[in-house]
Amino acid sequence: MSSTAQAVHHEEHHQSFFERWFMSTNHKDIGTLYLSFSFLMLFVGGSFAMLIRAELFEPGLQLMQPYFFNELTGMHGLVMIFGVIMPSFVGLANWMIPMQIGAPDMALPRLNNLSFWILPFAFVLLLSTFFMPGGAPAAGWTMYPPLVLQGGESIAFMIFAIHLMGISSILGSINIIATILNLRAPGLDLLKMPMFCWSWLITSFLVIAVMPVLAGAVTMMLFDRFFGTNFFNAAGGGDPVMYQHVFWFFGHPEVYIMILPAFGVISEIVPTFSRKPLFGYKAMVYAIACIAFLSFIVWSHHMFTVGLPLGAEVFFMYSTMLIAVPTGVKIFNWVTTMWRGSLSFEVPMLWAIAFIVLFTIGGFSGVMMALVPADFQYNQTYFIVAHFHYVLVGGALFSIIGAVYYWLPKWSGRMYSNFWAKLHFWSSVISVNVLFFPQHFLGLAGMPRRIPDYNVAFADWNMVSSIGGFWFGATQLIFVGVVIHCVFFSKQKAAARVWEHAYGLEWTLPSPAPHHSFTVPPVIDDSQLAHGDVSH
Amino acid sequence: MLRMDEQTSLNEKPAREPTDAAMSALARRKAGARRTAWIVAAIAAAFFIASLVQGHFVGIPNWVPPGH
Amino acid sequence: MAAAANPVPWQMNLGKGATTVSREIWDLHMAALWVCVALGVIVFGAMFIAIFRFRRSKGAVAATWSHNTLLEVCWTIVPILILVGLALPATLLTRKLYNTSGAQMTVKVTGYQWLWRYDYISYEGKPVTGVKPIFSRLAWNSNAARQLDSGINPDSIVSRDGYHDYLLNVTHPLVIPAGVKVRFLITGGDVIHGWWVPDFAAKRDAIPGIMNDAWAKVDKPGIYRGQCYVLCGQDHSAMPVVVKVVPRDQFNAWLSAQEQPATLDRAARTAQVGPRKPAPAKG
Repeated sequence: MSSTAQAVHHEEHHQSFFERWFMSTNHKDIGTLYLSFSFLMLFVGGSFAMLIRAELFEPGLQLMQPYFFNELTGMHGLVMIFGVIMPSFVGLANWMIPMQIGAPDMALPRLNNLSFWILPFAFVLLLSTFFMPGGAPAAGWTMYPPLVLQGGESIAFMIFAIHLMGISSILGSINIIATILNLRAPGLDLLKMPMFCWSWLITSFLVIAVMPVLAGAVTMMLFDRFFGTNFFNAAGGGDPVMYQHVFWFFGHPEVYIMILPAFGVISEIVPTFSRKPLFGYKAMVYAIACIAFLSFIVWSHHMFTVGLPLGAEVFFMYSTMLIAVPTGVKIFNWVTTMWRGSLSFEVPMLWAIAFIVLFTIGGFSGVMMALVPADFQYNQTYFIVAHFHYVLVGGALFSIIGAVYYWLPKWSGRMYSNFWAKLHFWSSVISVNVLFFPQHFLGLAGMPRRIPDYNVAFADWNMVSSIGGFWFGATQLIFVGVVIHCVFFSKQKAAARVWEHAYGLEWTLPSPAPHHSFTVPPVIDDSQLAHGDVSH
Repeated sequence: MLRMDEQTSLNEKPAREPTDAAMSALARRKAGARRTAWIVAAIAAAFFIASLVQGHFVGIPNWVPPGH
Repeated sequence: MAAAANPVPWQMNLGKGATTVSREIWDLHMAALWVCVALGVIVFGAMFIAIFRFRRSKGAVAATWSHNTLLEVCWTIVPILILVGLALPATLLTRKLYNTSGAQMTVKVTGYQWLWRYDYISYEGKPVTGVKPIFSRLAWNSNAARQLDSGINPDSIVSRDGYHDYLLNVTHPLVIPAGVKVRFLITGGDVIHGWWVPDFAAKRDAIPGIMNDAWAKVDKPGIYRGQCYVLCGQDHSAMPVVVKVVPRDQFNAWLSAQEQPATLDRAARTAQVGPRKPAPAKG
């Protein structure tokens, strides 16, 4: 007993910079590390995107050899998925989950430190492949064999990096599950939890189930490349399509890993600025659970053209279309939360509204692609590229930015500049549409994805898209400025309840949130929870 | 770095001194959390092995080790 | 020969294509698109009404309800009905896409890094013999223009019928007859490629070790262009699919001209062998 008290006391000693940031077991510091890391990676992956859009600005090759272009497309995907979207959601989880459930910290603080510090090493490995003989793996982020096996020795580094990222996110998810299931303050029942916690609880189970499957797929690939097995080599009796099945069994739940926490964030922001409880809280929880379940039985819709049997095509078409139902419930519930509310449009709300619109557009193209015959015309074209960028940029990334604007005053104790934050928003929301909407047209006209050069008929929309791309990329520099200004220079102090109608335990803490919070479990007062009456 | 060190020390002190009863409840819950973590880790390991087993049926029967 | 519905500048929608299946897919695509537009108008419309009517700056007071069973049941059931309405035609059409029976011609398509090889397997119920495979690689003028800093304007690459066919032209196109159901057997020689002619709605991955099939019955002669759509290495953008559809009699004449040298050769050998005494069997 006294040892615990001593431990608490010990941490109050002044920590050196190294102790605080490298040896930290504090969920808030680790959350900050995750968010800073993914912020850095956003610009690494973003710079790849800028190079890609620059090469695609005009037909003909102007800047790079096609092989390097292929390295860029693959790395852009890997960095954005594993380096930006996933770690930033884990960072938000680290910061917010203990504060939202009244826990003193994550359940396994030292594991938490490990799961973050694996990441920088994984990305050093991954990015170092650019400088290796033969270059980085150039088979896209999906790494389909046999093509990927033609790459140089660097694929071993990529595979090891993916193993590390997988271990990192598995450990992070174990921690989140253990925290949510075991460390809730007494009286905070599961169905009283904020939606963000719910979304992460379910997401964690997806991570637990599918990250090992990705590890299995790339392990087999490693053995094929270096140890003479023939898992995916048809000439040796293997099956290249099996890789795609294993990969997408991971890959489809993975896209929900990247969007479910976003649903959680939006379900926090919308009620706050509508001054009205979230509509259909329980339906929202069940919808997320339902989406998570369905995500395991739809993977082959990524493979409609590989020559599946007719029955499989039809099954995966139906299961995929079914996902539209719970997703629709979520969208309708957000809109209904706003209906008859008392809306104000602070910066986080703007991002949340943009999220709903852009994510819904991405969802619509998703329903269109679920139709097998139509997918035969869309498959592997820019229509797909437009679709998943709408859900991952307009969806996941916008929700993360919205979440940062929502909770940053709580984290730093200071307000950011509203003017610059709004400029960041409007510039982003316009440019992201200039960037990605024309890609629908390109795909429908027949432009395949992952090509560095194209027919002149595709030139005009590509140029529009590239202009939007540079604009969107440059706009994110405003974000850096806003965050740095807020954290280090802003004079405006934030109140404990930063937003007038923000409910949830995190808002009962002072701003900035103290280094150690809820060392004694709070007494749960239902009126302080985000959902008011949760009996429905 | 989101919080300045002086702010940290200002806010360092918990609102209430933890009582023994509350702390042992926390310790109990932390032990439960460790159990949960092991169970979840086992699930993850099972999925990893399952994916390899699935590959085994296609890949391993045809394996010719290098040099044979 | 007129260019078929190949991509044009500023194109914004799917082409209707040149087969009955591609037109049915276009109808399905448009139906799905309009359903999405209608739902979008409803959802975004409701949201924007809320944004403009229920503003706090206009003195809106928030309601406190957070639940409405009837509404929630409705917006679970109605989308299911809409989806069923889309899934039914899609299912029937998928069956049609998969039905390669009754093809009068079979062509084997093999993807290599970075060219297509076409072998005529059978035509009108008979195996095709003596026709050399067609190796279909990027045409030389596109190939020259696509090199890094080539200095050649891609827009200057124009086909004989006036189509700007940069990266969409090949040395030797696949030639098939009009009005004939052609079955394509698609496979890969090294890595996975993808064989796709948008106007035919014929699209399958070309996977080493696996034989996929697709079919098309094109009525209108013309030149139809597509591209490899599965990332297959550095020259992925430079392996177009070009299919020349010619009237049936013209095709028959072309095919027999192709078969001719082989037939002649065999005839010549027969003629040579005929008058000569059979060589004594070697002991």
